[in-house]
Amino acid sequence: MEAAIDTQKISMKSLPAFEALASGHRACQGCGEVLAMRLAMKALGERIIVVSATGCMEVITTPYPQTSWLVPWMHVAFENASAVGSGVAGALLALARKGRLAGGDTKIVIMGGDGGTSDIGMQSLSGALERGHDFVYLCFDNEAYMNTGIQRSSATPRCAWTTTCPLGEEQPGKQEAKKDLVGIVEKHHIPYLATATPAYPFDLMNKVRRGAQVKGPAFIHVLAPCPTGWRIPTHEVIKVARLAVQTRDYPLYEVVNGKYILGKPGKNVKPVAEYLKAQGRFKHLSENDLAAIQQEVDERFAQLQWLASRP
Amino acid sequence: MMEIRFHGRGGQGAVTAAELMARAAILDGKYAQAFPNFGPERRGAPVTAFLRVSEQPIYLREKIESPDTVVVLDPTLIDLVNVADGLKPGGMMVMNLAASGRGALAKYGDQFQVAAVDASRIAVETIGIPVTNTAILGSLIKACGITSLKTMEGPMQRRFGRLAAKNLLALQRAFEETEVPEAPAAPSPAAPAAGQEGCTYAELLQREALLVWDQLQIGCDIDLPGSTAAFHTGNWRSAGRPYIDREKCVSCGFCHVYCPDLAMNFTDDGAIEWDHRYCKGCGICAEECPKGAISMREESHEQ
Repeated sequence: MEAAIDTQKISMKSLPAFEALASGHRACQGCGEVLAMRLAMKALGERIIVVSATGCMEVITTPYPQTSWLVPWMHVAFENASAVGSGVAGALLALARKGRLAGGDTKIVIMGGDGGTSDIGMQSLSGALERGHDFVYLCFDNEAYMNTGIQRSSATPRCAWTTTCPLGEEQPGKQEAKKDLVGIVEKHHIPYLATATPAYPFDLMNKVRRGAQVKGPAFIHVLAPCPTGWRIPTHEVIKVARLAVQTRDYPLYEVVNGKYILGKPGKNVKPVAEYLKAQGRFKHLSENDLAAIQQEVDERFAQLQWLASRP
Repeated sequence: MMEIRFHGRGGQGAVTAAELMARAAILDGKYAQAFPNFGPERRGAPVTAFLRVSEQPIYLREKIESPDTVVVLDPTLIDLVNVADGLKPGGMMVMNLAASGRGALAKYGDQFQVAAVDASRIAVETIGIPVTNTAILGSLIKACGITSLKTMEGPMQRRFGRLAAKNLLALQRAFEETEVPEAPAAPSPAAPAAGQEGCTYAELLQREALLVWDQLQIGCDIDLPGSTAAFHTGNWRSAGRPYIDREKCVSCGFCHVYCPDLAMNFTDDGAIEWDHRYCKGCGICAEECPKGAISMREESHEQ
């Protein structure tokens, strides 16, 4: 049987011409999330079924009765995208077994934002990962509930401004740390896990493709910059996402069958202040705040290096 | 009760304008409410916000369908959305129009009372950026009263902090520069509003129209893949378009890879082509072009 997912490594020369999305979608100017989604779908190709949780990507691609999607796609609630994806995967297996479906290797792609993944969809995701269905989960993390008006989520980083954690004198911005979603997923011991961002488009596409080739669940966490909610100019979206990686605030790595593989270390690591000061949602930070965040970033990265050094 | 509808683009502050005015009216001892049209927040897309002001408590909680006054923050919206939709005959329109763009006055002049002001210029000269939401409030006060420039100081101070002085200056200047003509003696009856009734499916795909419950298909299935392509998001651009310098362009494709809207594409012979129909004008391509071959210029610039 022909494989559903192309195995070729993606570079600019071998960039797939395929697009799963049509133009005319209603994303904001300079949306980093729809860009990440477009690139991921390019890597996956047309033999997919997409199950989407509620979120920006659902709202902007399907203003009913229109749709941007050129592949089979369905929208379900925030909390059950992984459960529905599991069901579709099971249905495909059953149909193939009964000989009623040719090409039963169609890949199931489940996607959600940070709200649909680390907040509301957490338990159905955990269940699907544990049961080990054959799917790729794409989490597009823009670090708040952006399409309803920038409300905080558990993925909003510490100190960030949102409309529900405004800048008060006692509590300037969010007081709690960002939930370690990737760590939680890692503890399900799935075959493939990776972090990516659209600032490194080929890295993102190749990780999605590698994830889709494993049998069983794969999880790709994508940091998707949001110009509206992060308070950045639309043309700086890619620059800011790149700074997140260059400052080690958002390190790129893979976990393949439990083995951590850290992306190539950058030549000159930048202070995290460069990443934070580029965004309006962090403009209130004091030198002390910046120093504390820098320490958190260094500690997280040291831990990651230790994990990657294990045989 | 006075009902006012604001037309702007996402990010221009139409919602903030309605809210500031409501706060000022409340300080004056009136009742007021301000709220946006519910929908996803999309920078650049046409948005509406609503304001009700009354001497009596307001029990209505719905969108304003037939406003007394319409406020237009962005002149490019006039040809794009029906800003006069439902406006009462002889009603007030407060428009941000450059001196060169006063053609719109003729379009609406015999039906409505059109107060025009070059709010974009005032905003650039006072605040430094073309954000017109505070300037246009000065015009609205001149045209409709509602509150006074003095009362606006408190809410503006609270909202803008150290930027309040500049915004108050914009408010003041717009108040002074707004021309309010006499109301038309016999306003011609408004054209019947184009409803969704009798609209073909193809026409529906062209417009920003959500269906109501009894028009939904069971399961909400959509059998036209990629149908948003009929909806051209190019008219969201308000701050320039990318211009490709063919001398410098090497067709490397990074603008194509980084474009969220599929507006930079390869032609059959491998060149990069800009698609004006969908480009929202974010400027990522210009920022990321490794050869510096793309620059953001004014719309009118010849390619």
